[in-house]
Amino acid sequence: MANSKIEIVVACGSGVATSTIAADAVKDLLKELGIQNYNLVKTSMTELPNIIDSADVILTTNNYKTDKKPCFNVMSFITGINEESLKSELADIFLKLNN
Amino acid sequence: MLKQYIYDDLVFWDKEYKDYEDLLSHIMETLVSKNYVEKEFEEALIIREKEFPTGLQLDGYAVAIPHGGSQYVKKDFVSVVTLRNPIFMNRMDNPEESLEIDILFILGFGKSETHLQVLKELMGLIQNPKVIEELKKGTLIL
Repeated sequence: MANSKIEIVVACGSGVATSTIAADAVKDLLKELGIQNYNLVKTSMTELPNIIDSADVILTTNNYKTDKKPCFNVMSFITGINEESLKSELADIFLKLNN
Repeated sequence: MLKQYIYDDLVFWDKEYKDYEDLLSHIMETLVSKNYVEKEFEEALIIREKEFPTGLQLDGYAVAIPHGGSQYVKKDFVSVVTLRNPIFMNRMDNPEESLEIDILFILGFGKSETHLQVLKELMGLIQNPKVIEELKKGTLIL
């Protein structure tokens, strides 16, 4: 796992708007954590099932749930509510995946 | 940057509509006649809202940010609508839950990158309860 990139998928309804804002926040967080070895893909909720297998972690603004992969609701990056607790949850999983 | 996309003719204060579709059909009259969008924009936004709602629960209040249908947008805009009586719209991060919405920001953007900047700016703005209060009163000049 050491040399494989963390595959992060960020999805929202359209795959354009809120996912981009969330994706930017995620990139900032990864930078803070000093993690560079990742691949971040933005997508729409409709496309999400097609790329789920290649993802290590799935972040959505729509409260998407699957048993296959770790999922997080990243709405806090949009509304600013509970953003700090979301950041620490994500930091935990990113650091785990980075090891 | 947000400011430049909020045109006077697309700000609707203290309106009364029975639901989101009613609201949209009224706003569409202006959007189409002033050449902001093609008429298909309306259906795109209705479908989008059904599939992936855009209601946001903020700290003690809620707003909706309908967007989508970018292929039907001719001129980028942000339309601000405040309502005398709230309408029900579903919550983006929990579509089963409905929220009472009395302020909406309808975003119409083509494929430009600028719309993300605008959206970010808007998100910052709507997190401030004072801004929302002022908007509802119609006293805030954006």
